[in-house]
Amino acid sequence: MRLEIEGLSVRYGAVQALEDVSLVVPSGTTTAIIGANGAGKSTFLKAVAGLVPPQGGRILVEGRDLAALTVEARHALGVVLCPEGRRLFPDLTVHENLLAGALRRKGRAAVAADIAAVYDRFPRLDERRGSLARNLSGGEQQMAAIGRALVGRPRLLLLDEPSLGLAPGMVRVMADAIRAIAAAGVTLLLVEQNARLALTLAATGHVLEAGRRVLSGDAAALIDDPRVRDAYLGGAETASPASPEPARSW
Amino acid sequence: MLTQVLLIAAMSSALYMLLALGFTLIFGILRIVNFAHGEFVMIGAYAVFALTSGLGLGYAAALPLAALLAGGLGLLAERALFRRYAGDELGGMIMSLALAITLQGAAAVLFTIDQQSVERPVTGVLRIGDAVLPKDQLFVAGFALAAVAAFHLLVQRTRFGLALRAVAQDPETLRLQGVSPRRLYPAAFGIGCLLAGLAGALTAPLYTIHPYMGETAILKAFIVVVLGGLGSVPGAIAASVLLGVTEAAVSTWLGVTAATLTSFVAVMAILLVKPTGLGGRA
Amino acid sequence: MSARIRSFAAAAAGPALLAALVLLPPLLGRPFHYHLGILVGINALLALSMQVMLRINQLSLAQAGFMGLGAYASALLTRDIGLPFAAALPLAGLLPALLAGALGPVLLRVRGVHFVLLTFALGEVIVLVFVEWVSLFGGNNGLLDIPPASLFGTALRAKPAFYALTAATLLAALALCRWMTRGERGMIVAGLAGNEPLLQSLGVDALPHRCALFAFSAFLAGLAGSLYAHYFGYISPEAFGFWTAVNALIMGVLGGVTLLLGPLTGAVLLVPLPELFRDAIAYQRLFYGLALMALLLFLPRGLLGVLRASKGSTP
Ligand SMILES: Nc1ncnc2c1ncn2[C@@H]1O[C@H](COP(=O)(O)OP(=O)(O)O)[C@@H](O)[C@H]1O
Ligand SMILES: [Mg+2]
Repeated sequence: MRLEIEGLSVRYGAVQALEDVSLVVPSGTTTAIIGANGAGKSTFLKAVAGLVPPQGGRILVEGRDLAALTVEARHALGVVLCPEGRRLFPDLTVHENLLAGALRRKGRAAVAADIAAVYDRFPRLDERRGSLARNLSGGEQQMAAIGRALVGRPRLLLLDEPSLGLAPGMVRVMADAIRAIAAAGVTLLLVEQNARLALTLAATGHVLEAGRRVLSGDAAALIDDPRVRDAYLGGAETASPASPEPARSW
Repeated sequence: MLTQVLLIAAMSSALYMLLALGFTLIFGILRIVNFAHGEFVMIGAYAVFALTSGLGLGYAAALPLAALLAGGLGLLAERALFRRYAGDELGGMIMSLALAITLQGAAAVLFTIDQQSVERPVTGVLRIGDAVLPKDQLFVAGFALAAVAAFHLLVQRTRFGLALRAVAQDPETLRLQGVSPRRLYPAAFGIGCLLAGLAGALTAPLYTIHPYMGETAILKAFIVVVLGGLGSVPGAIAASVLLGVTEAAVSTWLGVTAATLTSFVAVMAILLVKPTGLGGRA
Repeated sequence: MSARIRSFAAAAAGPALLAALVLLPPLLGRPFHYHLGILVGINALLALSMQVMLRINQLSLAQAGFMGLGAYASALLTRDIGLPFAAALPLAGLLPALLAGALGPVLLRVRGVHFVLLTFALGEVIVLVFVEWVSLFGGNNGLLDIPPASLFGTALRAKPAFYALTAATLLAALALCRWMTRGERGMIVAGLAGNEPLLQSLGVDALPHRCALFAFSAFLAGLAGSLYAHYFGYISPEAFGFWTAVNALIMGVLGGVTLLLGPLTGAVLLVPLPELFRDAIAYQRLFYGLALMALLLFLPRGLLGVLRASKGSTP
């Protein structure tokens, strides 16, 4: 599902979170947006999902302007956001959280098959299907959040910091899952502070700085770009794949 | 003696559950403290009165109709009055006060302020050993508990119930699953009012009916939800039992005032220790 | 109009409105107008006491109970102990203020809806005590033969005299509220309403301030109670129940929650309302409720709020 953003600007009161950002996510590819904390990455995804109104610019999916569509209507089109911080329903079980991802859909059998596929991908979730989401570890929560998004049948999946706060082993599990989702043909827009991870998974990358797109290019080329290396990959050294990050309030 | 007290305790616990579950459902989903909740109890009672004395229907037909009427009016009220206050707790509260006054006034105009009563559909007593149990109380307790069980199944076992629980926990995230919270408001409000109306219809033959009877009901609902934690369904159920049993016991042995005072003091004490109530999470 | 004239007009509008309202009964001159004026004043005091708490985003439904405490205290102090009214009036304010100050550290730890429910319960407990403690408070019959208010040895039996007392009390209360919302104190009050973390970062401990405001609000309610008791000469518990608090709340909201003259405006509009529906007693409550719903739907910011907004000045 092709996503096209033209001159997107978003502000929160006095804070200009995004300014005149344009980019294209071609159908069937994985695209990464990297940038420091507060660069506007989450805001970008929220604007695409319809959670924050843009101050200017256009958001087009398959050539169709989303401006008039609510969050719910965008979900029905296949634009699904897996939000930063997972945002599971804390007092629902894992299984109920997955079911919640399919509330919009009709057809029990198809939903059950999709949930079974999620359990296949994340066997650990199957073991914990009866546990309340609030009692899960960070990694389990991330699996459940991605699973819930998948059960919503995304055609364009917006992933906000799926590696946030995860141990290295768990980051690998997520990376495998993301590759599998992409292989299944879902268009992916991946937002990460962990630039190395994002750029290994993506074909194309964009760098946001203080709400502006400052750099774009082939992901493989960006990893070697000195500007990216200095600012986001911890200089010449190998960055630790898991950058523990304190939870943010939005 | 003990068996009678237990029956009273069971009956009032079940009625408190009907009241408090609806109240807490409405708060949990619309974030509106429905001060008119007691008036929907009153509507249920008057509906039974009008349907039996006015239209000559039997109680068995009047009971469900009265509950449905209260639920339908609740649905309308959500549409016309409360929708705009989702998220504005103070505004919604004040609107519900205005609605309460209006409904009391309407009842006074329609039925005068004189007390009315409804003939008891069930009479006689059941003797178990040396315990004498009035059948009407048994009926009310049984019916109310069955309704609570049905509500529980609705919330725990259906897709609609799943959506209700999800929206109470995180409305924005539910939107991200493609479900609009606004689509759930009317049903939630309607079901809450239906439960209140059912409580009123069930107790219509036991107590007198008058336009201001809602105040006692809302008082009880308040105590229960504050004890149990606003918006918490398990909390409301536990607190209903706690209040029903305490009241039955204290009022049997120490009098009604002592019972009321005890429940107030208990509320204050519990909130002191745990401001969010027994079932509440910070 | 130049900006200067306009700002002068805005500054003068409040005092002018206040003066007009206060002078209305003497200008009309009939005893019935004084009677309405007294009722408006007492209700406005109670609504003002509620507004003090609303200013810090706390809705207290215990204010009617505090008013009752003031009424019963004033009645008992003058009737049974023989204290002069001039001493009983401030005591009638202090007693509920003490109770609020003592309960504040407990109650005010709770916020939002829970505070509303808790103060609702407190109000009910207070009324229950009036009903049940028959030997002291007279139970459901209440207290009779409360002596009239008197100042400097003169009994204020005549309505104009009592009206003057009511108006003076209300003006003093308004002046206190104004003082409270100005300058550094005003900043603290605003901080308590919106941004407590900011206050804490400035080194201001919020709880004592919240308690002080709660006590002050109870003080105002107590004064209203004392005036009520000595005006009518008898009191009974149901006058201080839930619906009295609700009426006061509605007056405040109707006038405009954040405006100093909001409660008085609301009282002026609502207190005479039953008189308009005199001929339709049976319909009174229904009309009242419908009128309220209409006002909430069509003037959600209160009457004064709408006037303010249309003049374009910030509240
Ligand atoms: N709800 C909000 N209200 C006000 N400012 C916000 C809000 N959300 C984000 N911001 C601000 O917008 C900017 C971008 O934030 P965000 O999109 O969350 O960045 P990122 O996801 O890249 O860390 C930051 O300066 C942040 O402080
Ligand atoms: Mg972010």
